[in-house]
Amino acid sequence: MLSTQRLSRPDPEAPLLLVASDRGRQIVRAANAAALAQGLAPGLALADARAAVPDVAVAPFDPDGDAACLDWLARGATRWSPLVRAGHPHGLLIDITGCAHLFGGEASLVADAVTRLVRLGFTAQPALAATPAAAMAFARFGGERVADLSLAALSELESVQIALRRAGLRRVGDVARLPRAALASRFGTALVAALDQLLEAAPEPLDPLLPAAPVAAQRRFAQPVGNHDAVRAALHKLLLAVQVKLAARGQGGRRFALALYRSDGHVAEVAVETAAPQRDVPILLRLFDERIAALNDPLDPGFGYDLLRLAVPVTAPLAEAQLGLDGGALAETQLTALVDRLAARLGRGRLRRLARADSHIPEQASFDLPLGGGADAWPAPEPGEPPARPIRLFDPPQPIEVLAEVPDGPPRRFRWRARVHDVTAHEGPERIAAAWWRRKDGAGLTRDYWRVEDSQGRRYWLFRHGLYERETAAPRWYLHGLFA
Amino acid sequence: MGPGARVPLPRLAVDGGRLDAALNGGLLLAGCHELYGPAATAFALMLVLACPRPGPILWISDGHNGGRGEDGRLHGDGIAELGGDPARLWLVAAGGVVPMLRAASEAQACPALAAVVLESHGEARAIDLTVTRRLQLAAAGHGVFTLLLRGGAPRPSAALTRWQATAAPARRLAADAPGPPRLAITLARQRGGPADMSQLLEWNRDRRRFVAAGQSAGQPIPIGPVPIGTAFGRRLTHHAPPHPGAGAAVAVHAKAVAA
Repeated sequence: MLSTQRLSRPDPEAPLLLVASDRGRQIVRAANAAALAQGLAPGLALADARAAVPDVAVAPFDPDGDAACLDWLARGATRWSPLVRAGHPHGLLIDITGCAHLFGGEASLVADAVTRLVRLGFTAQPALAATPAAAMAFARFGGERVADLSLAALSELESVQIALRRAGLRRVGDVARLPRAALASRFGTALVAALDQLLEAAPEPLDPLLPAAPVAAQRRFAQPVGNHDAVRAALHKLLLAVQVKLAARGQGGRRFALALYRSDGHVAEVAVETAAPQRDVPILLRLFDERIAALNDPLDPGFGYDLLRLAVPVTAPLAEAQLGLDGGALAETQLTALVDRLAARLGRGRLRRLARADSHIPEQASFDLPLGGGADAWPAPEPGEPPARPIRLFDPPQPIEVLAEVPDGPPRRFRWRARVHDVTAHEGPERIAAAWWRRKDGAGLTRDYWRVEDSQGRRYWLFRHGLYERETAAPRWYLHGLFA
Repeated sequence: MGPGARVPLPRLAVDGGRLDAALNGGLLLAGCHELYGPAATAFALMLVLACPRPGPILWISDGHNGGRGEDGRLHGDGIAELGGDPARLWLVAAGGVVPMLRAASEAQACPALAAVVLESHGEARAIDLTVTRRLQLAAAGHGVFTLLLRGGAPRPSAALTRWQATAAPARRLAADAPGPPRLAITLARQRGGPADMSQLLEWNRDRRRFVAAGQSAGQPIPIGPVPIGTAFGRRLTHHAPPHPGAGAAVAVHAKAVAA
């Protein structure tokens, strides 16, 4: 029903079919309640359905869209419990252990969930059970007791259901009375596993959509709030609450995720990350301000948020802070705070450091990495020598036209970006072979690097790609870098 | 902050000669300095490497991908070859002039940085008198050495100094190999001080400082005002930017061109 209900919201009373093509035929894959009432069921060919109900609306069947919609709903369902899983294709599993009292009991939590789903245009079949599998089965097949469930709750396979029925078993309770070993040998271990999950015998991990955060705090509003200042004040209180919890654990957070639950079911998320464990409220509030100011699509409160939750999914030990007289520690703190603020504003990927790798191919030897992590040791240059490597590197190298006296000699003149440069001094070649051991055929062109200076005094790093006659008949030239 | 201050403010010697004399002892570290010209990147790198302060150098560019555009990217090996530690260089790709300026205002408030370098490509009209005044005030207030690399024609600004940097032919080594990097530097403008003077500087990476070209390292350099143009002939007077507010220098400049 999710497939049709997410589409037919404007007029749920009109019959709607979702079709997919199957071996050249259009087959009905889903039908809404109105269509089902007129006898149009999934599995029918579209031509037959049209013959029966000529004015039926048709839309393409889109399982990916359904899954995305279900994930969206699951995200919204985290308002009731942090442990939520989308039970594809049509279910939502919510672990409400220890959460129900926040909503005035299980019954009112379920009522709240159903109301919200109905408001979004979905019909909901709620069920409460001790295990996820049992809850899912009650929601699908109805019933009160596991023993009364139909055999379809045990296996999707028609053949298994028929086999069970032939053995005289009608209900799950009949199957549960039999010895497990005999069941497994006759119907397969999958059936026994399904039975155990229904009967609480085997724990079934929920594998929630969002990992449960070790520290979290939330605020619920009787009236939805949309005002930025009110949201910021609530965030401030949440940060204070989280700070107390973190301090009690002797920890700081590395990541703080704020989820803003809109009353219409949408959830907006804003997260900040810190380079070092942090629980200082003013600093964190400032990071959130930066992050919210830098959002590409600004927060749209719509009709307002009715729930804010701040989770700290990543924590790390953080000792009680004491402002040291030691300047080094202070500088370290200041730099960490600066990096965090810049990262919150620009994104952590925009902050880079220069790194080096053990390679002699210039563009692979030196590159940039996200800031953080250990610094590399760079080789000290030979004293008294001029720099052998450029300060700016083109990646990829830029093709140039070169005039040389002899094909394997130094460049005399080159043309780069439509301008001719006369070479007045040169040094080279510095020969750098390709990584021939990486390639099966051992091929790859050798580069002959030249450090040249033009008549204007500008210094360039050029290379000839391929040894003349030995590797190629017409070597190409490239400009790879600019010296100071 | 003025010349009458009791405690001398830390300054960075540029050439150990007449440029430093004109700068009242060197480049004021608690200030914002503008660099123009094709060799501005090299000049900025050398200045921050010569700066004795410890700590990282924040290199904020207005590009999107860490300066991987037209001019190539900063090359760690090349910076190591200038005598610097590339690990000290922190690159920030702000992705626009306005984000770059916002990041700069954050960075300038952090005294643990050795220097802040802002690299804008193109004309960057957003960097106007107000913005440069803000940069200068922040640099002076927090004592953070700030360099502003700019493209296009010089624009009005409140920076302490304005420099024009171009590459100059290097000393020849054995077998006609180009020697250590040489830059032709022009102090185009200085707030409240003499300007419009040029110098050929050679970078000595082992000592991480400039040496006035034509002098062997350590030799004293004669101090005295030299009108622009004498050192390099006509070519450099071409590059010399207009300098509003420096009337006397303009006259000298005009004479040099007319001569």
